[in-house]
Amino acid sequence: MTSHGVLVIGGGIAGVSAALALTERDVPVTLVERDAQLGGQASSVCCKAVAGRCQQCGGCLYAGQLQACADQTRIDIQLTTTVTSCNPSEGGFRYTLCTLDGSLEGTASAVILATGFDHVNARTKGAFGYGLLPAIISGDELERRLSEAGQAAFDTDEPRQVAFIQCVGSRDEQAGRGWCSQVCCRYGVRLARLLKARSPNTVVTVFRMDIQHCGRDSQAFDLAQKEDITFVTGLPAQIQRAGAHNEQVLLQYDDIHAGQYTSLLADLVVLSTGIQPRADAAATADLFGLERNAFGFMASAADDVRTAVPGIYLAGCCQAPRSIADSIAHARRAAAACLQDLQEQPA
Amino acid sequence: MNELVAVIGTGYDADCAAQALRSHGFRVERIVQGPSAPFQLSTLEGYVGSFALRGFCDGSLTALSVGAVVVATGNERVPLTALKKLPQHARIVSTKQLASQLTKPASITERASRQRQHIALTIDLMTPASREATREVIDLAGQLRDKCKCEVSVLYRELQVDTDWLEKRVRDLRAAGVAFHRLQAAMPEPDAEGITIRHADGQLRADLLGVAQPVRPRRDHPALAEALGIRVGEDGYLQPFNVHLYHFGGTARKGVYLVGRCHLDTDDSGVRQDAELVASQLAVLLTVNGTQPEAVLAWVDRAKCIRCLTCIRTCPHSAVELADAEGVTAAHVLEAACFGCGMCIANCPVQAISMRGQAVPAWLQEAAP
Ligand SMILES: Cc1cc2nc3c(=O)[nH]c(=O)nc-3n(C[C@H](O)[C@H](O)[C@H](O)COP(=O)(O)OP(=O)(O)OC[C@H]3O[C@@H](n4cnc5c(N)ncnc54)[C@H](O)[C@@H]3O)c2cc1C
Ligand code: SF4
Ligand code: SF4
Ligand code: SF4
Ligand code: SF4
Repeated sequence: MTSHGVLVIGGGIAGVSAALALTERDVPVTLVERDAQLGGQASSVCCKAVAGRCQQCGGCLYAGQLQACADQTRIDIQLTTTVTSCNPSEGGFRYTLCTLDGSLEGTASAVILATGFDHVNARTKGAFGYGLLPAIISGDELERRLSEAGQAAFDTDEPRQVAFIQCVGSRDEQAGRGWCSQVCCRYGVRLARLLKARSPNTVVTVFRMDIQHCGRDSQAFDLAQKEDITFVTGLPAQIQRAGAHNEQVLLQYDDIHAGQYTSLLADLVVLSTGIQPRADAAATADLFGLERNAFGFMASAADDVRTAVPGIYLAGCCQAPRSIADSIAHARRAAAACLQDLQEQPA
Repeated sequence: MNELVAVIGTGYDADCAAQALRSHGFRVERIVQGPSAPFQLSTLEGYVGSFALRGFCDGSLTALSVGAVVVATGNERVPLTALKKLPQHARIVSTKQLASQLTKPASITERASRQRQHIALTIDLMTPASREATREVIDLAGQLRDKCKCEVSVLYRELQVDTDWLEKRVRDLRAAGVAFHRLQAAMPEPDAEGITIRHADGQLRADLLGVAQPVRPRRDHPALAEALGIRVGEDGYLQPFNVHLYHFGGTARKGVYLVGRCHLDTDDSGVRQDAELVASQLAVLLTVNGTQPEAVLAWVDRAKCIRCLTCIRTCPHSAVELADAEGVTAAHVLEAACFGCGMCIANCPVQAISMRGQAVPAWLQEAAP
């Protein structure tokens, strides 16, 4: 197998979108995915429509792209495959893939890296007791359970206190995590509305530093405030087990507006975890000769998509945290930059 | 295929759009908006690939054939004098004004620098924060600190730090001695010696207050949208928010695209990226398929329609509206916007909608050379 097309690494929403954008311009693509299927992390994002009304979360954007990619016979999709070497040669790249059937060699004129991100492990924020108490779950767990079991998974008629704690494992310079994950305010507020709308006896409190409501999709946030979802400025300082069987948790926090120390007894606590660089990002960067930024995401030029190595481009969350829609847009720009450089290259 | 693209707008956003389009091989026709503009836009007819942009030039009706239309009219910044509750005082200026004085001799910033004054900057004093204002204030705080060696405080209600590693820039500024405080409801109180501002951690005294001007949508958007057959969101920006279109500069009308601050909350670098994205999409849309009207379109049997509005709500492309004709009000499919997806047909409770083959409409035959 040799190809003079583009090698796209990572079959998440960013890789799939980049591959599609290149195919639209008649460039042959080899798409390499480590897993047995395409889709990446976006496939566990649930639909957050409240009573049939779309909340514009972007969760359903990935299905269309994935279908289009599967229908596109011109994309050479290599599943359960990784790249073992990739070196510049003769104005392009020579690479080796490790597949289930052994290794494959090929050449490509350019490479788009779309290796994505890891979920923040909620355990990194030890004080919040994730993994110790059943009432505490992480945002990615809630997303996954709602998308696998359907929106009814957390329904109840009983009175219930639900607390969302934002910025878990993000915006925390002391822990070396001084970035905002961009997606967790958006999914957090939408999930808060969803849980409240499905179970009217649920009371929801969102603990946050600042809600990221910029851009035009702030409607969910405006509606949440009208629907009696309480926003508390500041994160709980302490979480303790409570209830006869530790089925509840007691959140203690400083209410800066009331000017006093207060507590809340919650039945379900959602830790809004965000996006962090993949554990193997250093190895991937080395393989392609790329630099990483201060936080471990792949370093890009000022345009967000080109890198220090000519011919290698970045797409999606491997470069910075972003939503599904933003990942698609970013991947399209990466593909466009790649095409533009290829056209300018003397043949 | 028509490789001429009309770019509507005059400012930075339109310049970026035109430049990105040219770099993708398009020819560009710049169209200025406003009462004194030479070309007064009245309607846009046709489909992507062969639009006719009609308007008045020197009082006579003319038409311009273009392949696509890119709107890049930008937004507006509210002048401080229009903020009713804000005290009008010589010590309160806009951050734009401060930024423009940075390099000038004998300016207020130069004096502030000489006297080591304390300058306070607010991001979202009266209206919700925007990314544009946030970045403006953060950039300015850094410059006042580094170049003018002023004491700088930044005041905010919500810090919007989700993009461009702004969280890190805020931390770095804090480490460099810039104070950040959360605002309280109270307005700043200027007096002869300085300004007092209350915040969550107490209060501060500053010599000068820089207020970021709030952003707002342009007020001529509704008229422009009407002429182009697109829609304005409830918030006044172009195209009601739709996650399937927003991030790609799309509108419900195929071939009409939006670039920059007429639909996004972003800064200059975001505008450049948006322009690049739209130009690359147009390169596909205008060269590969996409330039033909859809072969089949939805069609409403006006006699059957019970005006339940289901199709208007469910159409993902805002292609259905209520229309009066022959004394009947009924749903009506806008040919230019319909993608033929069939959503409306599936949802109509009285089976009033069906697919119809599409004949070449009269105006298109007319537009052909
Ligand atoms: C809890 C949570 C909730 C979210 N909710 C939303 C939401 O509601 N709306 C929204 O728009 N976004 C949401 N997001 C963001 C969304 O998940 C991301 O924007 C999206 O998944 C990014 O896609 P990606 O392709 O960049 O990365 P990924 O999805 O991580 O895809 C990367 C792919 O590359 C593969 N890969 C990695 N390394 C290699 C290698 N070396 N070789 C081969 N293959 C490799 C991986 O197996 C994976 O399939 C959420 C994120 C989180 C964490
Ligand atoms: S955008 Fe989100 S809420 Fe709306 S339909 Fe898609 S997945 Fe559901
Ligand atoms: S998006 Fe919201 S919850 Fe996530 S890190 Fe940023 S501020 Fe915190
Ligand atoms: S067919 Fe699709 S695009 Fe056309 S009017 Fe019906 S829902 Fe809208
Ligand atoms: S769904 Fe059917 S009945 Fe209802 S408004 Fe549309 S066409 Fe008319």
